[in-house]
Amino acid sequence: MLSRHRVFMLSIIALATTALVAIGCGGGDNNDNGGSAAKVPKTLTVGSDIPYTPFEFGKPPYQGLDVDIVKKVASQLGSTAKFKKTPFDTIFRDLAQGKFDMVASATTITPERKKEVDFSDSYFPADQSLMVKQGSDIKTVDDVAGKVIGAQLGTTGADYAKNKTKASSVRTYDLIDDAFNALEAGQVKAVINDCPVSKFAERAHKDLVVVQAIQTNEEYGFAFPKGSDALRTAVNDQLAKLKDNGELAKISDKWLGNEPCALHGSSSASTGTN
Amino acid sequence: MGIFFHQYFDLDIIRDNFSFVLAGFGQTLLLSVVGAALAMSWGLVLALLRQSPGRPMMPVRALAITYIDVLRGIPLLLVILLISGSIPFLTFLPQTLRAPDFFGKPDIFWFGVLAIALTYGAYYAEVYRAGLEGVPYGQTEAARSLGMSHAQSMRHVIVPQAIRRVIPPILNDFIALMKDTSLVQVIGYVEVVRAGREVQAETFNSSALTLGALMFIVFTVPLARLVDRLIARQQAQTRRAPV
Amino acid sequence: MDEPVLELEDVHKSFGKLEVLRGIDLTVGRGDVICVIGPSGSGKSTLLRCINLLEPPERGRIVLEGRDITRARKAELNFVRRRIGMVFQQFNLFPHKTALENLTVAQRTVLDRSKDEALAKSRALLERVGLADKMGEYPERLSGGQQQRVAIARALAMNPHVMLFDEVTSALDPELVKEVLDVMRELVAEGMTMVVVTHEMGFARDVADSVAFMDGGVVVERGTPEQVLSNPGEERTRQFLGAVLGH
Repeated sequence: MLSRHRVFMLSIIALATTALVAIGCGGGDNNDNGGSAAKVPKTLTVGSDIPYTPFEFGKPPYQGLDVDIVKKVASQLGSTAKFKKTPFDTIFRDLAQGKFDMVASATTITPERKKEVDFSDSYFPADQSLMVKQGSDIKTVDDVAGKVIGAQLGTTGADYAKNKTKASSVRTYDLIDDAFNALEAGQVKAVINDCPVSKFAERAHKDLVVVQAIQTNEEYGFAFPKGSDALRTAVNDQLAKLKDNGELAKISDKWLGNEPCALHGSSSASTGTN
Repeated sequence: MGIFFHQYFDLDIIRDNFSFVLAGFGQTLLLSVVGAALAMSWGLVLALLRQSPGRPMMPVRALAITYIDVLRGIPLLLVILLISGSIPFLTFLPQTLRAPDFFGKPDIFWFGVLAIALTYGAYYAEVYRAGLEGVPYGQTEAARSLGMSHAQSMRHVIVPQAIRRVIPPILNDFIALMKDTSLVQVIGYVEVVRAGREVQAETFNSSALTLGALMFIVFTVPLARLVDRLIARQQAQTRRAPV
Repeated sequence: MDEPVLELEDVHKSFGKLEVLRGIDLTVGRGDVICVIGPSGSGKSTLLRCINLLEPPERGRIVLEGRDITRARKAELNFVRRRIGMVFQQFNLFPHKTALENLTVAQRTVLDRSKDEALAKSRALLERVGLADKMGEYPERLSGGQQQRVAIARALAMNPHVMLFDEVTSALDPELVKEVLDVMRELVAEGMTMVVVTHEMGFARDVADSVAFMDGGVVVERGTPEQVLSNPGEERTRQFLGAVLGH
């Protein structure tokens, strides 16, 4: 009969070993495609925070603006895209560890993120927006001073809310829909979030309205683990083609029409920054 | 391996965000203490209702049992979401209850506390029940023979003994409760796990989570050892009890 | 003056399917000491618990000081229990209270006595049973005999008219039995009405006014100690005594 002390020590060792093995194996999860032989894997695993309507939402195999673009790009490259649902707050970490081949999740290109991952050329303007409940006296970002506002954890919206507004407190939510619900319930007085998504959400949430588009001159890009230049270059090539032949504009129109914050509603995508 | 340590044990990140995570842990403690105080009181009420004697009290007993079964049968996370999602819309409640703001703590704090009290109250009720049933029947006989009513014998004789017996399981449930407070983050409350995740989202590094775990351990492990000591002491007492 | 303190008429008590008391008739006069003897399972403990209504009987009547208390509820129940004190085989002292507190708690909550009054009475009683120096002790620090004496004092603190004793020395080590019986003998001398379930035949012979032998839920035989103990009329009584006194 093992003494309690021995059992305790053995359990710790067993747990630690399991954890180390898991971490060790997790790192090399690029499946069989490595990156050496084929430029583009046969199946492109795409990490995405679903739902973020109308960029990615619905049931597998999912639909949305990002989904359409990625499917087009993938098929041009002779591969099939497989979207994997993943929480947004750990998406860059997971990508950097190789959990997906790329990330397509309405992700804004920022200098901090570029330290961890590489981005494609930009493909969509990424303005923020201020959304409130109908009848609120908040009209601009200055009006949220001293109030409680909401945003999604890990987004540039949360960043903006914390660092560029005088809100008394910022509540972060795992899913943007939770933030919208909190806004409806009056638990937060405003939500700061990507403009096209909030604008689109007005359709489902009749009480909520975007009162201000916040120009940040930032843009969306697809994200790649560092060192997957071959894939990234291939995707960039296809993106450029879609911009030239008007396909990108068509996809944007399909989902967002002429809404402000859509491709046509503000200055069109600039040339890719890298 | 170096990546592992960098991801989870980055000392710079731990140092830079220490006070933020510590503040989150302070919120964890606050949620735990307030929630537990309410849960322990409500649990005792429930247990006593469940034990109320006599035919006419049967609906009361049945209600108590149903409540306890249901609240022990659904996840605390669900209760938190249901409460926070529904209370603001219950028009028959006054506005101060629909968006509570007492003692400077925001509505989501109180929703969290309420969810914890309602759920853990059910767990505590079962702990008290075991305690009450563990008091030898002779105690009740003696109290009733002396002329004490049911309420008097409960108050002076049975309940004090029951509570003494169940201090270890009450403390164990408190540790569980303390860990479960992290669920309140889904309605926006920043306790220690959430604080760690916010740092993680901003720094792309998980060391703040490790820090949060350490803060928990510093608290819960001594508490667990205390429970062991209390149990050992109780067992020694039972062995010493004269016939 | 001649009215009996306690009258039991055809009392029946069942637990589920098991009928434990099958028609008990018993009369106890003021100042009487009646010892109830019999094999285990005969219903002796149940009899006592029926008298103070811890177990209400299914059939029959119980009359206390001229009042029918068989179906007593609430306030009437308290009337009963204040007049009848009971001492248990397992003492049943409240372990979380000192000896003194064991005595005061019911006086204060049930009888509404003031704190001073209750304390004075409790001290006096504990002195009387020889435990003046143990007033502040918790039951776990007392010997069995001491605990039982506290239990007797606790019952007496309520000024009962009748005292019921349920094999109060059976759980004691032999050398501790005497101190408890001595306290009981003093009570007898003071004229307390007592119903004592016991195995202590010597005690019964010395102090009892009558002895009742119970078996199978009925009183088989009742008479003076000389009659029942030395010269039992019934065969069953003879057999029981033979077994008990034989060693």
